[in-house]
Amino acid sequence: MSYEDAQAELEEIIANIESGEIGLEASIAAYERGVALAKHCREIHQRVEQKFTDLTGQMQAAMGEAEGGKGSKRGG
Amino acid sequence: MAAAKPGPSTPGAVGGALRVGQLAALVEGALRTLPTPVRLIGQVSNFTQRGHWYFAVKDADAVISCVMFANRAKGAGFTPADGQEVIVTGRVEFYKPQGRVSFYVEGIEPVGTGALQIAFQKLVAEIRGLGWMDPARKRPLPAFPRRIAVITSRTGAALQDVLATMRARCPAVEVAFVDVLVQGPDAASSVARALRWVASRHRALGIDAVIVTRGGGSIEDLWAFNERIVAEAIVTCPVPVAAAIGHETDTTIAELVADERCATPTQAAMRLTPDRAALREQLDLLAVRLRQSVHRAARAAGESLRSNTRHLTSAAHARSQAAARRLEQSMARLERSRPSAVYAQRAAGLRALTNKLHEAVARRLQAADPRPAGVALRDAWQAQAARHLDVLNGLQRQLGLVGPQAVLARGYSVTFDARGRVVRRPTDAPAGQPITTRLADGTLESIVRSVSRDPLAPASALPVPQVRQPRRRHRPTDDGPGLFA
Repeated sequence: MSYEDAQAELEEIIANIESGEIGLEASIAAYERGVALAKHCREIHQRVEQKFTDLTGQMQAAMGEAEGGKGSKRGG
Repeated sequence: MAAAKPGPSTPGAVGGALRVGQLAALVEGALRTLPTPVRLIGQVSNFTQRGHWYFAVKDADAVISCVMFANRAKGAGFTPADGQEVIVTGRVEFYKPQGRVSFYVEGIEPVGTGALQIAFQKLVAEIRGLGWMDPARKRPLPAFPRRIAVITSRTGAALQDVLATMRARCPAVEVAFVDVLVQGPDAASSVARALRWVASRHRALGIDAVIVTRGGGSIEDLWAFNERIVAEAIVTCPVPVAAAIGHETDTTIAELVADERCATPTQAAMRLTPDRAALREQLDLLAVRLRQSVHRAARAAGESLRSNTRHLTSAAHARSQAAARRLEQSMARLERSRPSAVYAQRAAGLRALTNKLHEAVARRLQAADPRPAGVALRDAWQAQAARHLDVLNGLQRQLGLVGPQAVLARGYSVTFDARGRVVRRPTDAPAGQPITTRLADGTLESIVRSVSRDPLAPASALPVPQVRQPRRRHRPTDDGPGLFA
């Protein structure tokens, strides 16, 4: 689940409970879901390793090119 | 010499002189020998615009007057400025009425960096016309992209700036890198191809946004990002694109059409990567709100339960009170219709009837005479008396069910003293006193022979065994004959 989706659902859950339109039992179930979502978000924050993927080769293979040897000019 | 002197009639010359028209014709002829069209390079001067363009092109040695008609000027793509180096293309003609040689410009193009500037402006006008720069077209950047495609040169400083910034702000956002040429004649197609490929695979690759970037350089170095194919690839990309090309002062078409224009690669990374600290703060606030919301919900539910209990209690109380009232009413009604009360009423009615009977008998007896008419009257009276007696007997039967008659019938008796009072105790009838004993079917007259007291009997009077006395109203007196009336 993406961070944005998790946060959006969490906000929706809070709004639902705050509205008082769902019963206490449903509120407690929603609360538990909210806690799980917050935990999920926190785990995303806590990642420290940046994941880096070089797609150049994949692109060149997909496009049937052999451009790899050309190299690229250094900018600025 | 004299023969050479031209006469006034000769069409050639007078004294060897050419007429103006002749010279003008010669000049025109000479100008037609120039190559067509003529290309002329020089600096613009005295530029004026009055529908048509009038200006001069000069260099250090000479000046040539130029005119560019409005219909041609519209296609120029730029407006020349004094001092600008241009190449004009056209033809040279001699304008006889004013005796001037003029350059009729059919095309004009800027020279050098000026040329790039003009091309840039022409492209800006074009993409503006296409709506690519329209703010309404631009898409918002995702708040928390899962993966960002970074399209730039592998060896450029821009890539390192982007990676460092993203790592510092939020390492959770992944980087998908595509190496491209960022300058030179193949750069534009390289960048456009990478953009198109990422666009076509963005779902599979999980890419939520793209950064196209390049460090600073000359306008020629950055030129690839002014090419139409790059602009088109950015505009058609299905995920938002942030562009940061060159230094802050440089503006490229790529940046103008991008969803987010950024001054530097670092800024592009900042715009696209959420700030971890800010997110954590936001999440903490949400967690607090979540806890509070559920606590409030629990409190509200508790209050509603208490309130419901109160309502329930008061409703039950009201109901029990109503039931108690109804019970009292029913008891009162029941009391009124209680058998003893009913019999008391009936006994009273019986007494009244008896009295009426006696009165009626008395009246009839007084009025009775033996005349035949009296016979009919007597019969009528007898019939009426019989009816009264029937009623009386019926009532007596009913009364007898609970009255003393029934008790007497079961073998009990009642004893009266000489004065007609009920004898309850031995002392009520001393020896030698006459007594009357009432049985079911008659009476016994006796004299008390002796009196003895039951040694086991308590000092107080024994309960009267023989008659169950009606309790409440209509309590008969001991000595009243009414008890058995």
